[in-house]
Amino acid sequence: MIPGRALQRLAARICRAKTLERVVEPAIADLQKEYADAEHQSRSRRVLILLTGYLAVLEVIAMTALEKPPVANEERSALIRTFAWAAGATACAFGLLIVLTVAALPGIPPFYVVLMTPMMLPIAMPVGLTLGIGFGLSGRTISPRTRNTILLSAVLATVVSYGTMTWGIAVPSQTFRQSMSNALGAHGTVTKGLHEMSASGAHRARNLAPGGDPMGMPRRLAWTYHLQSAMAFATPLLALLALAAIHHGARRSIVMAACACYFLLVIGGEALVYRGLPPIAGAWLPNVIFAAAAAYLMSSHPPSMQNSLSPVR
Amino acid sequence: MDIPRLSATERLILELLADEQMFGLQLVQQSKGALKRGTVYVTLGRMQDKGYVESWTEKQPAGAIGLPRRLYRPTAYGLRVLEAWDVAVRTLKRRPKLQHA
Repeated sequence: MIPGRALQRLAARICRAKTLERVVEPAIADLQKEYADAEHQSRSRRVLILLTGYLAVLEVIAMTALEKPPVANEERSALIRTFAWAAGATACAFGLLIVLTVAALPGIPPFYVVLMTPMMLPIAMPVGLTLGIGFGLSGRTISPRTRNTILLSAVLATVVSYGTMTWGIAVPSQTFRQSMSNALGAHGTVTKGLHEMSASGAHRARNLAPGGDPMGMPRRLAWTYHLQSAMAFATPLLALLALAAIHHGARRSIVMAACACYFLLVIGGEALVYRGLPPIAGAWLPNVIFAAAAAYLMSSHPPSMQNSLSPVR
Repeated sequence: MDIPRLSATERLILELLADEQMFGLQLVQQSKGALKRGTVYVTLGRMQDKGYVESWTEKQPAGAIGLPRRLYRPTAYGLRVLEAWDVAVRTLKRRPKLQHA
């Protein structure tokens, strides 16, 4: 029996070639020699040699697998900086949205602010991540690993955003409106508005609503229903455009302007829906424009942007 | 000029290798428990990167099975670093002579 072969194969998958040759294989070689020298010793002694040897090799593999090359430390710093900025920007976006809402509703009790949190999340997240990319990575070379990590985070944000808009907004929003109505002295249950319906609720209401002029309820319900899906994808699209723009050398002010443009397009899309544009087109218009812009920027880059970028310094 | 750093573990390894070249497991055995088997190889790898030690794989006899073992010995630079740190430690341990006005 030659111990350590499985560990060598495992290490070959995890560790770099230089680390495997200079650090891991010497540990395995020593184990193999020690075990071979104990051939005529007791079984318990050989088992003990195997156990201590395997533990030592596993420890070596774990330590070397956790070691990062110097360039990866800079990537990690860039990512931490980006996410720190994103968290701060998201918090600021939250705060601004809540302040604007509270300013429009003087005398609102503080508890009601909590009810507004799910409503603000689908807007605050894309704004926060986009600004985080702009402030954290502006002026720097973006490696494929950094880009992929940020895009993965954006996809996760999409899942959270979609779930919030599908299931998480209706109840707090309706509770907020009911509470405000009660606070103003009104009695009875407040009818659910467009934004207090879940996606399925808006879909049902649209099918039940009578047809009519383009400004009527069916059109508004349809637009609301489609917008809830479209807004969930704002985060990855804005992130993709921001990454592509920064790689083109865009400054953070450009990234901030792009973020503002997205929400202006959302408002513009609603206006176009009222003027006859199909609701699905109006809701997804900003996403289509931003996806096209990101694709154009990426395709106009040197091949290194699409394949493997040079590592961050 | 930046003074190269030398941890206690690296210093012990250089002191042991200064007498004779050794395999990693021999260093662990000679240290009488001061060096841990799991970490000595990682430390030796770092010392090679810093230029304190060098290593090579032993020639295996024909028909040998298993991986060839790696031998280690200090470089001239590693021995100079060790000597510099020894001088520094002796200097720090020496009681200062106070000069009275």
